[in-house]
Amino acid sequence: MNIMKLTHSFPCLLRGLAILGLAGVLTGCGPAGSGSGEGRESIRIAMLPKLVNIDYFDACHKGAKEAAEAVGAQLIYDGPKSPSGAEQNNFIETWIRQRVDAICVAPNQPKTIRRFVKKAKSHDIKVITWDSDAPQSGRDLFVNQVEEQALGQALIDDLAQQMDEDGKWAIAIASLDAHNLNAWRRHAIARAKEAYPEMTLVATEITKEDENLARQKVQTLLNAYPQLEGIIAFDSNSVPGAAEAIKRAGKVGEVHLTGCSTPKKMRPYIEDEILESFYLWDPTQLGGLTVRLAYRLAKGKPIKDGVEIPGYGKLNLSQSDPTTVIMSEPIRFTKENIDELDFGI
Amino acid sequence: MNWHEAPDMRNWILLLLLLLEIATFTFLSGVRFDSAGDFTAYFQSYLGDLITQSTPTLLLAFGMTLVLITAGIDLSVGSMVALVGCIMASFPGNTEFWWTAVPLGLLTGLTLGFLNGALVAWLDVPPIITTLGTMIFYRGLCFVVMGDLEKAPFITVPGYEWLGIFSGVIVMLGLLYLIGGPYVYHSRWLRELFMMGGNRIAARYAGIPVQRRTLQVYTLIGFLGFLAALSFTARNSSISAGSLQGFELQVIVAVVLGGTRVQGGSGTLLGAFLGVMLIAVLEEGLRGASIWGDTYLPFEISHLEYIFLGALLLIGVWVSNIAHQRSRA
Amino acid sequence: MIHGRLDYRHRRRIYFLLAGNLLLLGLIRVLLKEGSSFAEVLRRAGPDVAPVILAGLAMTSVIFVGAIDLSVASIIAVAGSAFGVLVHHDQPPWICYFACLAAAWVLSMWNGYLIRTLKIPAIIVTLAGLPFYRGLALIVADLGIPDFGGNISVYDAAYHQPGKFYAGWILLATIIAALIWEAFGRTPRQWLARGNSEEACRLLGMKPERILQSAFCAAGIFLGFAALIAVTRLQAIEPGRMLVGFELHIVGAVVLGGTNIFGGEGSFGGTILGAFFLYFISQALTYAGASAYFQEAITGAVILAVIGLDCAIHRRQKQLDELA
Repeated sequence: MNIMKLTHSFPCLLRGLAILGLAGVLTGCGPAGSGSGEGRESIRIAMLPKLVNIDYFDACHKGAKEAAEAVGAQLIYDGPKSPSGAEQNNFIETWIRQRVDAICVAPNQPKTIRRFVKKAKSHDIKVITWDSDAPQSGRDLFVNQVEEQALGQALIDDLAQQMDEDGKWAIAIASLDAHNLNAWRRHAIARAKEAYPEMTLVATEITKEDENLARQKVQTLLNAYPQLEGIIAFDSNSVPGAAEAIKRAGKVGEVHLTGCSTPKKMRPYIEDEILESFYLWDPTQLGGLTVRLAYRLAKGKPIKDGVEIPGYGKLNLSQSDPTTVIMSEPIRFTKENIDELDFGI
Repeated sequence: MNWHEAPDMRNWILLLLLLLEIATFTFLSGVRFDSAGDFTAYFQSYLGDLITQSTPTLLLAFGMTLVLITAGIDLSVGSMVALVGCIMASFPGNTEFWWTAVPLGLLTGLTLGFLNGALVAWLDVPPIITTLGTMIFYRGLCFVVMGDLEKAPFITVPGYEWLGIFSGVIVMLGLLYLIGGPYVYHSRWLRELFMMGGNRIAARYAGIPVQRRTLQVYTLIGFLGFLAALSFTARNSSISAGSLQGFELQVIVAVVLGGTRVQGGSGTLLGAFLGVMLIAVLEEGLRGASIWGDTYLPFEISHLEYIFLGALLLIGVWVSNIAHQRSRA
Repeated sequence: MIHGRLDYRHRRRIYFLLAGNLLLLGLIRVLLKEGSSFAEVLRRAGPDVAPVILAGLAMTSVIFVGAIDLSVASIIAVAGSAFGVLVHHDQPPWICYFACLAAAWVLSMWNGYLIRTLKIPAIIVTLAGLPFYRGLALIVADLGIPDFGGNISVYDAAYHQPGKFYAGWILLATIIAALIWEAFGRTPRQWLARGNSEEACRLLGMKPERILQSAFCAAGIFLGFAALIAVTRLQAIEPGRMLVGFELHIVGAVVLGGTNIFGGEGSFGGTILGAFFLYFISQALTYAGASAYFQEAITGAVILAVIGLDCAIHRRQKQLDELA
């Protein structure tokens, strides 16, 4: 045993740590000064989706890119690889250090970004939330693609109408901690309790954003509850998975399905009439609108009701909250309109 | 058994890689410094962010190194930290939080770690399957405790935020790595862990209380998990049942990059520290380089993170292995 | 024969799992309501677990030789990307299937090659492969498809044949072939030999390097079929997100099946039973109507209970073995 070597190398360990420690002490606790970016003429807008490598947010990116080119702003678009609020915070910190002019966040966990919104604002960076809101965070503006309550209710209303307001229904959802999906789910359940007392919710299945798992679980549900008549699937992978399950179980027409998904994934099932409808909004428009509003904010122009935004029209602010812009009503996709309304996703 | 082959050379290589990385990414991020003041200011906030971001990983890397040294592994760390956080989050955020939720969190952390240790030590369940099982089990408990809510009592607890800002985490990390590290490094305890990792049966015959040591190591991870939960919740001010998914792999990759042998019997805490920082700098650098990526790359720069992470791990371990063999020859 | 080479512990684990699987099936049978079909439960089980079992067989092969492959999910993602890009460019189905199989096989061989030449433990090489291949899958898709938006849609039913219609048959054929090979073949025993002692293999005149490579070769074939089924049953291939975390599920099935994670001990049969066991737990939970909030906790508890019980039972014997 080489004790000599052991004691010998220990100073190295200390030294290495001391270097890092010293560097750390230098850092202090206060906010540090600026890196660079002074004297840059173009506005720089950073856009943070819930996660990357997913068609929905990619479509938002496309819209954002076009809008940024149109107004002449520089767009940074990046985000975490899994829907994690903590990782989003790291992005916000990076961008604060790079002194961007505006940060547009689609928060995974609305409460998690509070401290970082404050930090950004203390550096004179405008913060906009889009896709889902972070109330009480002090963000400047929220671009609401569609109201949570309106969508949740639209889904259950649609299903109830298909099921004649009677019978057993089930839910397929990506995860129990995705903020948007669960808000819609809660509103749908509340609405079902209040308006459709004859309908009973029998099961909720977690599909982990996996189309095949959704298919597997829904197919099991169909066998476990032979009287099941309706399913609401809340995310873009659960709907095609559930549609496939209904198709394979040979229960087309007996079990009704609706949910939120993208036209590209749903087209074959809509054309085969396995489901009647699903819901979405225009994500390219959402991305574009967000960037244009961020640009306006960064330039110091007011955001008011009725302001004309190119490629969108007149702004529509929420009655209850003057810092919320409402983009649109949820669009109901059916066999008839799916070809006209294809948003390229 | 090569616990005594202190891989000092490897750590220098890792340090060199780290500096190289920082330089490259600073260049790619497009930051230009007009004065020396600019430079220090930038790096102050850079280092501060880097350390606070990676505190949970750094804390767990300490424990993971020790458990890998004993030829064990702990895959449940992510779920464990999340569960401690979830349990603490069930309390209202006022002053009482300090003497209700925090002690309960500590107790939870220790219990969860102890449970892992007990399964491994007393029932002889292989560590990988034990902690794979508890990873699922603890995560399941998170959902039982939290449901689909995101809770943020932490933000209103007086003084709690300090645990997540730079001065707080540097105290935590300093105590662990500068006081605890050397203490452990010189202890007989660590050598016994090395021996257990080298040959468990021989260690038992040599009179090392293998079961007790196993329990201690896993319980220590539970304790570190509690600390990580503190700093995580203080920094991010909220927690939900799905938080910290994939955290275990992040920690293991960092520790392995730091030169710890997965089969046990070899590893250093400083290496683990450097491993975590290498990965943090890489991630931070790619986050900052997206403008460069848009201009020069035919694909999204975020894809490169995967590529670089894999390459870094492979090349890092390969180079330090070679250097290590040279230095021994 | 196979029965002879398995020690009592492993045999017990297999009986244990067999009983567990039957128990779960019995439970499901009891839980079925009026109008549900038990035949449906059995008929779907095979196709549903096919990728898990096939990837599990791949994992078992490499664990036999004392290696491990943590990059399986990412390899399948690359195979999916290759498949999707070719579909996008309107290649005939058989070329796409072949590309999918080939991509998985090549990457698996490449893993083996790296482990051999760099002399780095398999766990590190494949841990590096885990992110690396994922990135590769994304870059392939991004470069191969203009306007790639996170997923590749495959509409034409002609491209869904293996996953949607033949999964069960592919699985059955592979399982039979694998079990026969394991029982009578020489190569699987060589893997186990190397897993037990590389040095002993070398002294006996066998070539440990070649044995390692052959295991990765076989794993590549199993993995190719796993990828083929996993990819062709989807409406949209998402290279960045498909099967994230799959590797741990596979390792879970393999280790549950009694295969020693450090190599040299185990069986294909154990892996198959382990994979079915995990599948039937989740099925039973749905049939029992367990709340979504509790399902994961129950799954974890069941896994812990089964493994804990099995280990506790033979603990005494294991200690005696150590003394011997």
